[in-house]
Amino acid sequence: MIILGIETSCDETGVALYHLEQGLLGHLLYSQTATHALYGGVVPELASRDHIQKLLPMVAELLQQQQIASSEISHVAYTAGPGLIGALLVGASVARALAFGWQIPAIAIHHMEGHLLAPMLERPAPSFPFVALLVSGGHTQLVAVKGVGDYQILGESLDDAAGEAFDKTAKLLGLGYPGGPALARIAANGDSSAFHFPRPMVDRPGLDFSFSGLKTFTMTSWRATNQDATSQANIARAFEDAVVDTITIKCKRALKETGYRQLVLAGGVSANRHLQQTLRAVADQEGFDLFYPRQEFCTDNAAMIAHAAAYRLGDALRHHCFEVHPRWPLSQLQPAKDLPKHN
Amino acid sequence: MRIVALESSGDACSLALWQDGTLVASWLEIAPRQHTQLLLPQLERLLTAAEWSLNQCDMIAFGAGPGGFTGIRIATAVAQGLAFSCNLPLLPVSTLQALGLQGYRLSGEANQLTAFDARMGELYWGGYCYSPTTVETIIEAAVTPAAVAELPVSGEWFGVGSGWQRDGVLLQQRLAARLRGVNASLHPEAAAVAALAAMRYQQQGDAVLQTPFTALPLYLRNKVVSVA
Repeated sequence: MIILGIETSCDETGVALYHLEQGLLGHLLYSQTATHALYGGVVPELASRDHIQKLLPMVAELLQQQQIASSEISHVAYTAGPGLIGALLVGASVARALAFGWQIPAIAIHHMEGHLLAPMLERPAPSFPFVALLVSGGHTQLVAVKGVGDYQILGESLDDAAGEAFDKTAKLLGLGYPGGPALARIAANGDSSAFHFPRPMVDRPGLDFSFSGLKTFTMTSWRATNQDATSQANIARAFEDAVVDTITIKCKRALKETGYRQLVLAGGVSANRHLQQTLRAVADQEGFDLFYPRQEFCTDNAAMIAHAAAYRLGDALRHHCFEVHPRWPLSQLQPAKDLPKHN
Repeated sequence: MRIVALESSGDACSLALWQDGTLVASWLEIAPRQHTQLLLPQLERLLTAAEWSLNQCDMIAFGAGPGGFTGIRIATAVAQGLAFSCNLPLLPVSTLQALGLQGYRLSGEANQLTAFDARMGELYWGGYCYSPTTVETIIEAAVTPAAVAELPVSGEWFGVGSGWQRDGVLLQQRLAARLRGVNASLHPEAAAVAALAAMRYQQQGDAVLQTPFTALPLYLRNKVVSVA
């Protein structure tokens, strides 16, 4: 059985083929970043227009590259939400029409479940239960994961998501869009003792986050400098330290509260080296296991969608009515109907 | 020749099965924002009732636009997926031209000026001349304010489409005695999309066919964002 996975929730077009016994066969990703950079953020209409041009040629290219005939595909999985409605509709419409024509079932996947399970594409893979830290441009959540679809939100951001905070702060420092990764790069050269940013909400009980105050702190600090490269690097460093420290404190707290011994990082910000290194050190010190996917599976991709679908075969759809869900809380998911044998 | 046609550029959503000059089956529903819930289930119902399988069809025709961006993308994406899965060619049809054909058939007037409300004070606008077996474009499809919409240089014309509801008075003034009548309540339908596809294929052959990789929506409005 081979699952074709399709991802179009935001500004990346992704396709993947996942074999139930052999694992991931291959995947392709096209990023629209250059299209949107000009406008300082993702323009939803442009994203949709781009997806509809790229998606099907990428499906054909991947089938050709992997020498897979369409008759070998057993399921079409696609991101049904959350995300940009127009972008989601392109992927969903193409996916459901393919399933209709091929007369095979379709599987609607929650984008964040895709991220959350992505570390299980790697070896060694985490096993249930674990604590997942989902950190991306749209989400910052700590989740107790007991099984596929059995998610308890332990805490989440009350305002900006971590990735959003990175991008907005980068913009304040004149690093363009999307500036998060650029900010992380220059932060590596910054002096961590030059500035000290607050660690929001660490002195309060609970596992919620708040990152929007760091923007104001960045702006005030930045204006007080002569705005040279050194101050830019130092402020970037202070900002990143504050985010990483805050996340680390909350992760430790979440592990303690649940009693779980595994921490899983997922989502675009989980590719942040400083975050990975800091949590690795803490994991070694405190004796828990840390998992995160390779860089290309941290950011949006279709491999994670096809992979998540392998756990959701019991939820495969044989009817042809479909919808997308731009806002779709992870906590609304139901446990997977069955859990097939899986390598 | 068997054609499957779909149209979802506005509030209406429709399907048609067409074979050798005859409408075999059709379905239409006014269902704003419910296109994805209806299109494929209704297609399955029509195909089953007609005892057709998608594999035995010769092409997929679809209303490529202009119209609501989301609606024309749903029609295009579904058409692309169906065509790719069954290895069929695609024939994108102008929704304005399809609407004009409906206006022609209902009114008997050969010259049709078609207009949809494009919002932002503009119309999707086009002018076509029909005969029972041909269509000729007289005014190229455009997005334009009614006040400066290109008018045909001669002849008498019939107005069709929702744009005539909003800008009818102004357009009537501009055309004066050359306007023979208006039907502002028609929606483009898949049956007309199928008929036009057949007509265009008859006139121009394989040149009008596209692949699932090249068949794209016809937006007309291309400025959708300004530089920050």
